[in-house]
Amino acid sequence: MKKPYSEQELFNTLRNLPEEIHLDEVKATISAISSGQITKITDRSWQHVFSKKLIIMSSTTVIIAAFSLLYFFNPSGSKDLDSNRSISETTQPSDINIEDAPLLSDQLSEEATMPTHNPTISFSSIEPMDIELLPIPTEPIVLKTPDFTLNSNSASIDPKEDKTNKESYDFSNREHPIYASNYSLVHKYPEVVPELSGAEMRRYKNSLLKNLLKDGLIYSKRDFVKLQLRENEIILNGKKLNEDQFLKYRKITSRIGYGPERAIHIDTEYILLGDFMKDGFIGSGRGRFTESFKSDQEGLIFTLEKGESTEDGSAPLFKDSSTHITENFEDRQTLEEQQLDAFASGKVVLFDPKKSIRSLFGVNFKSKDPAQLHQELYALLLSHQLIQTKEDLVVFEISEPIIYLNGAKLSESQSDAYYTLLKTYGINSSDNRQIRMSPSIIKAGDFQLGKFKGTISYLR
Amino acid sequence: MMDNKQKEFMEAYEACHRSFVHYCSALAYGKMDTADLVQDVLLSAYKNFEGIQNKDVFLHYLIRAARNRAISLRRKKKYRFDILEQYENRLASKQVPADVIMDVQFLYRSLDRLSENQRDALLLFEINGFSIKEIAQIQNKSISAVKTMLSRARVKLKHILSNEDIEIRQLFSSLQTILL
Repeated sequence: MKKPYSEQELFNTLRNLPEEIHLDEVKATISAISSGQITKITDRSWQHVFSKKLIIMSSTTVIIAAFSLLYFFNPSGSKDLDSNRSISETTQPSDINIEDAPLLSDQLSEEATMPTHNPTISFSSIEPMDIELLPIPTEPIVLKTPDFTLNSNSASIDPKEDKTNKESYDFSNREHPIYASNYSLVHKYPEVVPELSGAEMRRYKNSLLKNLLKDGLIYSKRDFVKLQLRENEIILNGKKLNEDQFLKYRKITSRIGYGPERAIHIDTEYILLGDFMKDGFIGSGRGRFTESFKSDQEGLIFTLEKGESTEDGSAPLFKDSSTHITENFEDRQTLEEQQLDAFASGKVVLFDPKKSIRSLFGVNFKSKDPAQLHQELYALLLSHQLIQTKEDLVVFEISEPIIYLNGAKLSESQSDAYYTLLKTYGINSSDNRQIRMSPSIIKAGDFQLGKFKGTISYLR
Repeated sequence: MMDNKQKEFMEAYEACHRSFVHYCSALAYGKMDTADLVQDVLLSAYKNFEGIQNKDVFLHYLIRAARNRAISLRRKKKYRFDILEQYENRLASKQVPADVIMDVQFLYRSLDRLSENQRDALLLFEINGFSIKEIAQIQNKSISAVKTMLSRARVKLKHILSNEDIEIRQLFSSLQTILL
């Protein structure tokens, strides 16, 4: 057996070992280098530089990064293709006469204006497809009469029939009015009665009140607005708008159209848009509506509180009609005037003493004596000679900066005097805030149709 | 006809040839062709030959260049069979006995188990014949550090060669038997 290796023996062996590369080979290499034949070591394997691990890791990373970039920069690529394809499908047929079919055209135009996410995609490879218009409903498309309107008078348009004979409809036929929620149809045929959703009407109301207030055409958002939309003019509460205002409000109300009877009525409680005719109203509305005031109908005077009784204990005279349109609609101003007249006539006792209460909503007397306020108000009114006796009925409308007394505007100094008095009782001005007094009752709070928040005191 | 640069280079190189090739053989053993390493270093040295001010320490330059170029080889743990075969064939062509070839290969493999600096220091001191001071200059270390390194390298190599490498010795013995 060979003895164990000694490192010195091994080193000696290695020292005496002939060199692996002979000197002549080195000389040949130097000669080749000097002659330019060798400029770079070519025999070295490229694997010294690029190992398998490096290649695999780097290529995997690059692939993942590339796919990530593609995904995040174009996350809906496939959807784009689908959506664009659908667009091409709907727009390729050229035999659709948009002018001849207004309803259909609007439907198509809405589809055709869908935003394209990737406009660079070419559709040349997409084969033309046959378009069938069958998905268009056979039932009336947009003609739907609101519940409160004349359902029996509603009409419909068959799009197919309309496509072939557009003159078959008389849009101005009032007996069979045509409703449309389609903007372009109303724009093209102003006689068509606009049909708006609740949200749209709410937006109209807010937008109109805001613009009218901004233009100084109304004094507050509580003002009644009657906007008559004629073909060449717009009349606001009986006053014709100038040219600039006309253009502005024509643009705002373009969705509503125009006509000899077309108007918009806005109250704090509702908005009505449509045709106001002598025999009724056709259009859209939203809010709370009341029965018309009929002066010949005995006792129909106030409708302010649900559940209140009249003098003889009968049921409330006014209905709490939340969405009801009268056939003989009259504006609020007339109504209020008549109400005040009736109120002043003393025919009605407003409150049942047994049901009188004191509440802490809206207006709070804050432990003040309402009888004292009642007494002081009457004294002040008498001193100002605004009433004749303490038996008179009084309605204060308390809104900045002027106070209305029984519908009549008080002077500034008088208003200041009443404001000073009321503030000592913790009553400030606000929308819908009123004080109503009779010889035996004082009622202060926020009055809305069918709704009251405030304090009622019966004075014994 | 050799130009002056080539002549001067060859004159400087001839004195270094043996030590340089031995060192390159030890560095490239089993992982790279020694001829490639030598050629690569010579190419670089020839191009920069005018910049070498002290031609007396030309070997130092070659050693450092070879070590820098072979530094990536140290990370490789696996030997390439074709390189090993090429090495054996070269020595066999120079009438080196097979048992000597086995001993040399066993020494190279044992040296590979040392740390890089220990291996370098041991090779330069034992094979190339450098003094400790010269090794310190080549490795940019202090003399005492080189001494310590050499001492630890010897102890470790002795330990590898004596008892704990029975399997390697048995393997080489069997290979030697086959070759003989």
